[in-house]
Amino acid sequence: MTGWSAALGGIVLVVAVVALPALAIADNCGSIGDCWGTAAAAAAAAAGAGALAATAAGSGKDDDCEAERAWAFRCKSWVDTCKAQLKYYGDQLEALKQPADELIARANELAPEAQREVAEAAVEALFEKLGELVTMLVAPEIAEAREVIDLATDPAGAIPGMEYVRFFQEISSYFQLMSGDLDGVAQFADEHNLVTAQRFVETMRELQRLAARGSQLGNKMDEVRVDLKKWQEELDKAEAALQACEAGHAAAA
Amino acid sequence: MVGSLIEFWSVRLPRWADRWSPRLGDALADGAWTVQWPALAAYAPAAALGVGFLSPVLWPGMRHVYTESLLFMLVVVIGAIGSGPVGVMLLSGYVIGRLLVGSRLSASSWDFDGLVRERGGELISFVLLAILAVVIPLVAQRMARQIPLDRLPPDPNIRLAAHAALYGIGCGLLTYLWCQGTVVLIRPVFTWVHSQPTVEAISPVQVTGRLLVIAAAGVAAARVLVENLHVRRGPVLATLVDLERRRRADGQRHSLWRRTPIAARIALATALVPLLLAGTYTGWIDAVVVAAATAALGAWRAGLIGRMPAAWSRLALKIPALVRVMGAFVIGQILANVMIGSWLARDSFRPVMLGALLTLATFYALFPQRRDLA
Repeated sequence: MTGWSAALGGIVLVVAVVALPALAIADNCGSIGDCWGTAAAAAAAAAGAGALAATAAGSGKDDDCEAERAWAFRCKSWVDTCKAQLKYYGDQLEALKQPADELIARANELAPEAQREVAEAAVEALFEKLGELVTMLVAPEIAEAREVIDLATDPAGAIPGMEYVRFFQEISSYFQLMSGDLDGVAQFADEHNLVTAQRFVETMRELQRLAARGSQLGNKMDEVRVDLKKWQEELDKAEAALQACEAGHAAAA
Repeated sequence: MVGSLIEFWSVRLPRWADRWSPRLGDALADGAWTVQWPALAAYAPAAALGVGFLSPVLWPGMRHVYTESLLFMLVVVIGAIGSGPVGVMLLSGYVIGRLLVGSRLSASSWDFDGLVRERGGELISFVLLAILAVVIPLVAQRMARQIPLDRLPPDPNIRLAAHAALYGIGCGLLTYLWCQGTVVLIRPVFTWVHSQPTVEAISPVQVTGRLLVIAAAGVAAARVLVENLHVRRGPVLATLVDLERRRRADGQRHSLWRRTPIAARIALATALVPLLLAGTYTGWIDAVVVAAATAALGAWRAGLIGRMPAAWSRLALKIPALVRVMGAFVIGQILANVMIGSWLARDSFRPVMLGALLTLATFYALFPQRRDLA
């Protein structure tokens, strides 16, 4: 007998010595009918008492690998959560794509007329800035980012919106670079009441807000993808540990 | 301050508990999801400890035991299902408070016999409260996740709703069983000190216990939905992931129970079950019968005196635990009804004791060990 068995055997003895005399003096209602209105109610209480005794005795534990199984389940649950979150952000991102395309198209439409207005005002430096704004808008980086990126090897799989992350990040970077130019054009257009240039600026501002929102969502998706990868690794480890535990207990049996 | 407290409740305390009881560690870490509301995650467990500690002396209507207050039990049910550490702390606070300041013994009556009777009865009430505040949420979580949802449409929202419903049903069912059993098992708090259970102590569980069941089911379902739809899809997810990862960082999860020799486990169950069922006894012999039966069932389940047929184990383990719990309760109730209604005289509690014992045996039969499959 190990030390543990001896110690716990001693506890059992003490409980028996201390508790059982007390049990013997236990009183009761006098009859079952005093405590319960019907036999069925008393039977439910008896069954409930048995269920609680079974819980206390741990009879509901039918799983030697419960801890490993629980951890694997939690990892799986995190993986699912990360995927659900990617989908949530991805849906929002996808919803931004069409308005962004429309705004870019409108900006490109307005650009020649806006350039003409600025040229007529004979401000050479500003004409160049506007030119840069339009050029950047159709720059190869952004055009390329608009293409669907191959996600075959991505753990996120076919998460909607994933392919637009880079697009919005590029647009957002573009606005950070062009912020001063846009402000300059806006101020000049207001001062000289250049209607088309003002509309162009408004369109660009709208696109800027959309790009900021899209970039923010994209950054969140990037963070969640990192988490997803880590939880997927954790899940793989947890499943391996569970399999090892089950194999170990099967061998012991 | 708030950050340190969240770290304490969701990382440090569970890691400490993981070293000897991973289940307790899981219960303590269960409140991490409330980090969406930092003040709640930081202060709720501490507040629960305070409420539990003061309740034996200050809670309105609570004179002898917590079952006298439906409101207190509602707080326990809602708190424990909503956040594991709140349940653990309510229990801890109540036990400490009852032992330190809630004793009914006067200074002059502090004799050994009186102390044993009072503390013995209270020990049973503590075990019952532990089942309500800690065990039920954990067991219900386990039962809910054991039920495969593969046949449902792949829409995550449908599966989430199904999981919420299963967790709600699990918590509701177990709370219902708790209410039924506690009606009889709480009696030693009174009978062991030569008193009679009062209507005030039994009625909130027996008559209005359905409110506890409804609250348990509702809070459980709501928690699953809020946690998965709101918290886990929000910006706080990264914090949650970080808390979970740091809790697991050292990987020290060792169940003291599993490391305990099988003979000692059986001995512990043999001591605990007769104590818990004391409210159903008429005399000495009942305790002896329950102790002998519990020891025999434990030894049988452990494979020391025969083992469950592999075919039966295979069949039983295919059935979800939630269904098996319902089945064991229904079978136990039918058997107890037969005993109480016809076979035995109704002038003692013995048929109730036998009914409880048969239900216990049914649970053992329906929950074989996985190793019996071999």
